[in-house]
Amino acid sequence: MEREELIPRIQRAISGVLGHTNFEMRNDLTAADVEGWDSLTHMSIITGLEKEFNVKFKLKEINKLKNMGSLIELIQSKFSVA
Amino acid sequence: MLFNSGAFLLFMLIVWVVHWTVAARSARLQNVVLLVASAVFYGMADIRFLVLLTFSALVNYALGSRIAGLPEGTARSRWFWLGVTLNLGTLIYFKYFNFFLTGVVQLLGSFGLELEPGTLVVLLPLGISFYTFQMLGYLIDIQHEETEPCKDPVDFLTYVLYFPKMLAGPIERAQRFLPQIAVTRVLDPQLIGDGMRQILWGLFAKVVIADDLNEYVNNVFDNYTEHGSITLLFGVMLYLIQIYCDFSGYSNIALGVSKLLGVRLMLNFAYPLFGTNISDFWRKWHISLTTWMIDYVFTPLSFLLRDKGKLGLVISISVTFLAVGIWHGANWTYVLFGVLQSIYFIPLALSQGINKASAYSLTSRLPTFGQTWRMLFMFVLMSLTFGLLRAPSLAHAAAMASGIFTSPQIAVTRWVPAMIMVPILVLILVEWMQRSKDHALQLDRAKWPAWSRYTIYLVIAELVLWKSGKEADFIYFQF
Repeated sequence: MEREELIPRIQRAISGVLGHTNFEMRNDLTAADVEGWDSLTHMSIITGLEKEFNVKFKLKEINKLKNMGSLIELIQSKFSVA
Repeated sequence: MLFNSGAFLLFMLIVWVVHWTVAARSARLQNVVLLVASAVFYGMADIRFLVLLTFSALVNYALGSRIAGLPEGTARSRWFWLGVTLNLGTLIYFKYFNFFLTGVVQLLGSFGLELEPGTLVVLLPLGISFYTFQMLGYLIDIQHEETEPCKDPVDFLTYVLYFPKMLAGPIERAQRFLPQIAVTRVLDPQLIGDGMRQILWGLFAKVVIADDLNEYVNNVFDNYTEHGSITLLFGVMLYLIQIYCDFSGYSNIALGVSKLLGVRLMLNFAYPLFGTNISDFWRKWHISLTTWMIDYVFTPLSFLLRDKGKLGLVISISVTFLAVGIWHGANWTYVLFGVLQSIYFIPLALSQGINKASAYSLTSRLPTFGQTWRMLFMFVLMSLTFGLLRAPSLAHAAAMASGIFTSPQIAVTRWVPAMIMVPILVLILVEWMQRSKDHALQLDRAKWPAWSRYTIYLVIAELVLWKSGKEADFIYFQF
């Protein structure tokens, strides 16, 4: 799946949980930069992404996420394998 | 050997000189010095358990390499779970065995089966709750491929035994610590100066405030039947101040001592008394424990239960706080402590109000009325709850609570001495002004001319010297 295709869908899933779109979808964006994205909302966002893309993540994959760039890569990898 | 003792001063002086002179040539030599010093430090506190500690550190070192060397699969998982079982098993044996035994005997007793419990006298190895969690975190990180195993047993032993954090944390992560000692440390006068100031502030909190509060707090807790509601409330509020000054004082000394050796330990406190809601409080209190719990208990659990929606969140929060409570030790008071914290936390988490209302400006001179009110509310709520860490039993805690809320005697039966209140107010004021800094004595050179800074250091040092001599144990050593 192309990056341009993914980005709006990821953004939608995140704002669906946090209730705002006050963040830029940069590669180096981290959870700390986004208001409301903390350890409690993190898992809701992950679940939201799983539903949006109809994929399942592993805990190991989630723990390794460093920023938006690695999240995009992770989602892309789910489609390249399938 | 307490941080605030003459013996430690001498010990530290020797270690420091050797570390920065003879050993300064290589990281290897520096680490050997740190390891030997740490073994002496721990051995002097508890020689019997030095063997146990060294052995379990080596076992974890070997397990780490073994797990990392295996491909993902059953064998790897087996070694990992063996490691988890060994670590938790040792902890449970030493810390919780008698608690479980008494529980089982009572349970059987309630079915009419009388047993004569021959309770085992199990001595608690110092620092076990702190070092077990560090090694456990290390194995989990390796299993999740988040870190490489340590290649050198000396480095790993230094990580586990490192004396500044040995007895009461911070619960340092291997990922942060090992890279720091993999390279030769260079003497950095600025870091040393910062470390000295951090130690000074830690000593002020510990020696001038925490130790001085001992008598008052002990009197209220031990003779609670003789006191009226207001005095009891004073007692629990001052206990929160005491445990904060004791533990944040210890942590500041630990971080400061470590800076003298060129190693930065993680921040453990970020001015929790200014917390404006429960989440804010826990983000600032014993940070190395709460972040450990978030990473290794809350996150995996909420991941597992992520399809359960809010119920999953509630379960994850409750289990995490229960773990925080039980981490303190084997007593129903600690269980209740955890349960209460999750009861306070859950409504906030469900309303997703975690980040709202919490942030005060780090630069404004005064908090707003609303923030002040929320801080005071949190302070009283936490005082009432932290009393559970001090009360010897649930019955004792319940009697004190009922004394606070229902005692007809309102008159103050024992006033708090003004001599104690003055340094407390100074601490609160200084920490508020310095709340954007890692510790309170990081004074801006632009705002504070040299003469004023050195006057402050001298006055604090004088106070510490004047008040020292009691050398009361740090409260968190018992956990």
